[in-house]
Amino acid sequence: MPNVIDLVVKAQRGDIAAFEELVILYQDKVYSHCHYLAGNPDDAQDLAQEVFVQAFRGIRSFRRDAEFGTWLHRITVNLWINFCRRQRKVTTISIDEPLPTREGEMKRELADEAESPQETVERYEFNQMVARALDRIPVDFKLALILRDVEGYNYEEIAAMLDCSLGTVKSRISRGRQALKKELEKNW
Amino acid sequence: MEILISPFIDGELTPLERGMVSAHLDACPTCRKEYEYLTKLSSALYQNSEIMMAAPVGFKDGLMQRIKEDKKVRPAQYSNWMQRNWKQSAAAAAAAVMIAWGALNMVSTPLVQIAENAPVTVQPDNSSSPVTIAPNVQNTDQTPVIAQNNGTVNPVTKPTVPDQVYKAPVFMNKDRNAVTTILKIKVTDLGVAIQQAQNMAASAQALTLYMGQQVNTDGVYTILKMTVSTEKAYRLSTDLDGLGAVISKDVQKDSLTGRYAGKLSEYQNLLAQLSGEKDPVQRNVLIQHLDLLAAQMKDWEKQADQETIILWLVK
Repeated sequence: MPNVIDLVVKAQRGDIAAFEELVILYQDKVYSHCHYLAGNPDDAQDLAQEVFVQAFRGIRSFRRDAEFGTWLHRITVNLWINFCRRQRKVTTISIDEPLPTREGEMKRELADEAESPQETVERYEFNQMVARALDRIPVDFKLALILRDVEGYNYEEIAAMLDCSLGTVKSRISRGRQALKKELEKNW
Repeated sequence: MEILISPFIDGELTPLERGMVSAHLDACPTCRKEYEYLTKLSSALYQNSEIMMAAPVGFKDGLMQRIKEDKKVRPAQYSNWMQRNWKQSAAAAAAAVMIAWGALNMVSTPLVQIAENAPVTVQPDNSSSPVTIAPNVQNTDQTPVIAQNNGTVNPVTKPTVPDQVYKAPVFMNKDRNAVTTILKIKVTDLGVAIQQAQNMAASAQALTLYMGQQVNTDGVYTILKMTVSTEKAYRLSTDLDGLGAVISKDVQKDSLTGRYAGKLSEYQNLLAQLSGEKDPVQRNVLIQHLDLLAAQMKDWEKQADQETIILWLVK
């Protein structure tokens, strides 16, 4: 079984084959993350590739007492923020565009064993609609909401990452949720 | 008050504000409903983000190609200064692993309060023999230690925040496959077929999800997704064949082994990190991450114990 620390040490010494092993270990995770952030497969692929290129270039600055996956995760989020800033437009997907197939790896079923099959279906459908709605709200709102609800940063950390005031973060999150709600109500 | 609901959900209010909002939510059904809805939205965002996808075919190759070209263009960046310092870095890596091992194996003086009630097994590496950590972790009279790679031990202060006890679940690395059968059947009566399919699923104790409809060139398909235990999967699949004329039956095996191993590795690294982390804020971040990983691995374990049958019915 590959040992991540071992591979990182080798990669830091310039061993490309070791880095390739790391890519194999982490590519699904990074790609999934990029896909969720970017909202479409093409941008996701570009972003994911960029993440690994950055990781390769900067691998010697990676402190081995930290965790490699977390480091990649952080690179992904930072790159995505920059990507959004460059884009500065509302990303929209057409209603007819099918969501990417996620068969066999559907939404994570929560430990809540008490949920009935009907409830599961309803939650699944709701989550799908939220996914669509997320790509229709202004990108600044999406950024703030993802950093909060997905990445788990607090308001202060988000303010630092987005280089804005705490008040702006509060506002974007609050308004972002309302915007999502409005998008969802359109479909009912 | 509505303005405070979002920061309330995110834990960004002062204790006083939190108390006020909490009391208000108890008393006001409108705000309560809003709170529940926004919480559901947050959960949805998070749950959607947990959906794993496979990187596209050729991704790794395209990437490595680019990296190799990149290396040619930027030779200075890839100089071998590390090779000159390899002895130090190797020792540092070894020390890091020793500390992690030591922390996880302190049977008499655990560094981290891992288990409160049930005994916990954590696999320190990917070997097949799990290690048990003593469940009685409430001993305050002994100072926990870290084993150094030179054989000495150093005392370490216990984590000070009692409510950040992390209960590490059990994870075993083994061969895991997520099996999906895609079964397309032409039926005479759609409504009857759906009902029969659900009955068959129910008797196999399978969970059935309605996935919607899809318009194909050969008709409108109704799609049902069934999740059934591995032992009952074959029987259910055979029963479903009887619903009508089978158009196609494809079995896909998706190996989760590699991904699971990757996650487990990450998990162990984080656990090691947690054992050395005293700052409560950092601990919280680590614990959240550990929970995420644990949930994904549990999900894969569950997937491997079950099979998925995706039933496409067309009239």
